[in-house]
Amino acid sequence: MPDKTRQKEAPLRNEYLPDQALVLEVRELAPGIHHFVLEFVDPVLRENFSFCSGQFLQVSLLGIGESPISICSPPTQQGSFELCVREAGNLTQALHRLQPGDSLWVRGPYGQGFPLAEMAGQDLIFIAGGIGLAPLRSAIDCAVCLNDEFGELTVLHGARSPDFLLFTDEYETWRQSGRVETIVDEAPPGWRGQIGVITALLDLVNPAPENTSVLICGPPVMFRFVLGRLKELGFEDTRIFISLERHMRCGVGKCEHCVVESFYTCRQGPVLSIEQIRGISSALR
Amino acid sequence: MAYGYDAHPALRRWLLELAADYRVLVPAEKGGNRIFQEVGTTDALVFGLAQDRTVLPAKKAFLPPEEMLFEFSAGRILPAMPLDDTIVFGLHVCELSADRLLTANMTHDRPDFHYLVRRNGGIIAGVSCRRTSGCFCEKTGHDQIVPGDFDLFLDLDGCPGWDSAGTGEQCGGGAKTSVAQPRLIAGSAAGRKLAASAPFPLENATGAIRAPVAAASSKTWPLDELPARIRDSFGATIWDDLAARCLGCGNCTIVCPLCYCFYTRDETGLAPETGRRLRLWDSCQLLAFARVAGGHNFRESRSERIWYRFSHKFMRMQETLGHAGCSGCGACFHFCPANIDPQQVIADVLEVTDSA
Repeated sequence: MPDKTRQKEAPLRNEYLPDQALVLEVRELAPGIHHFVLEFVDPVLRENFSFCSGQFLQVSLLGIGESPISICSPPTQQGSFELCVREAGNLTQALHRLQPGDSLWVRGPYGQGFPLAEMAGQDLIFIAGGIGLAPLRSAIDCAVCLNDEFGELTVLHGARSPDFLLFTDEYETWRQSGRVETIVDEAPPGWRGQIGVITALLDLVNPAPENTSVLICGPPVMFRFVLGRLKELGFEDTRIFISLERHMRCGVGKCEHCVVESFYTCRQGPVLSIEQIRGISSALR
Repeated sequence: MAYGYDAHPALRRWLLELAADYRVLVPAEKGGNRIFQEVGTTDALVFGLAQDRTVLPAKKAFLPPEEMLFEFSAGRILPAMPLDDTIVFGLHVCELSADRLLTANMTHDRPDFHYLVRRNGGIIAGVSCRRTSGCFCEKTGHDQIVPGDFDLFLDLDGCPGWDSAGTGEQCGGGAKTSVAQPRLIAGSAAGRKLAASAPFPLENATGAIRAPVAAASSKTWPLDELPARIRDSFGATIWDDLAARCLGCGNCTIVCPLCYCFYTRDETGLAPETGRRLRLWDSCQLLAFARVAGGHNFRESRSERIWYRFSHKFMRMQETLGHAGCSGCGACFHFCPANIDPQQVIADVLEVTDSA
């Protein structure tokens, strides 16, 4: 028989087995964007599941496939967690057909989230383009929940059109802890809000860099302009955190799809400080 | 001259005996190619051909080109259990060295369950090599192995039918044996145990086993410097020149003993609620490798994909694991339809970054 003496003593963990979660609620936040409230079927996991804002799950449907999706609910929420999903590929199209009571499968959480503990006592600025508000909403709700731990919160959210502004019913709650400003690329007649690009919101609120951290998530095209404006305003690279999107298959640094120069987006990211990616031109595209 | 079953029928009997308890893979001829095949299915085992490399490397024993992660049926998941009973027989020094580094990589950070179950339960046995044309293991630091990197090693040096005159160098663990027959060198307790029934004299490994020395013109590479050199070469025109020649076929990654990237795919039967999740070898040289749902491609240009492959091998693996992710086997060159030679690529990198 095969010699077992060479087997490692510590049991190996099989990272590729997902856990089942049930859809409790689903609603369409914007055209092609759905918001799911979920709970794990396993009561132990439901109780003990913990994560950091900015971390992601490998979400799958059996027979369809698997994709990385950021958690959009705060870690302070017990018993359930939430995902916000934009219809983009096979899996997300299939996810959009789910109804309450249906299941999906998840493994994780994976990656590094926003270092909120290190930001205690600081003002926070959240800059979100489109669906990028999803991972930031986890951090915003966390900061709102732990209100006394942080200074003033400022949420800047840009979207294609007013229909695509996300979580609009939560802005009033957020405003109790700070300020929420939105802007859209284009709007139908009658829109009374801002029209333009998201850097215009930075000009509007004109934030001071002292004792402030910035959390960013959005499409790559947004990064260059937002980072340029923040630099002009005097923000340091160590205080700006960005969540990167990449193709991922494993979530544990083995499949190689998410590599940017010398880091794995799934392990050292998806949240990285601008300091960490300085000089890596392929990171911010 | 090559060496095989003809020269030593007892080798065949021993391997077949092992095949009663193990899946035994040996490099054997099939359709004009050298392929790792199950010992019971082939009579064409041969060592020491001038073109002595297999099409797929030995990694396929522990990281199959396609494997099941789990099955599912009616909303339930049934994990796949990888088999842990493989002996791979007939690896060259560079292949044994590559196996050590691939295993280190799969153990590093978050261990890979499926690979490690197979590898930890597996046995690897090396064999003398005569240097295959286009190989360069001494340049990448994969030209020697120590006990622990292998379970057994079949030293053919001095055997009748084993012509080492081509290089005039021996490939073995110590002083040339005067006995003109193969000897087995045990590098682990598991190897010693298997060798108990072997038709060869058995010795314990006492030190490193080296690949035969290359031609005198061969120059080693500054492996410690290469990470910085590769990093500095990002965007250099050498990568555009390579992109103009490269067909983007991905052959180089498939035949590489140290490439391991994969993708996953779900398969269903006629009933969509029953099926399985597979993982399959991928290639960073393919256009869609870094493309996300929605269409954005984070590595759209071929020159960047080629740089990425070399940076993985000579920058990232060197930095995180302390060894270059290139064994120097030369398979990528041999199987490249565009004749892209990694030795020339590194020479070019060194040249364009020399002034830096």
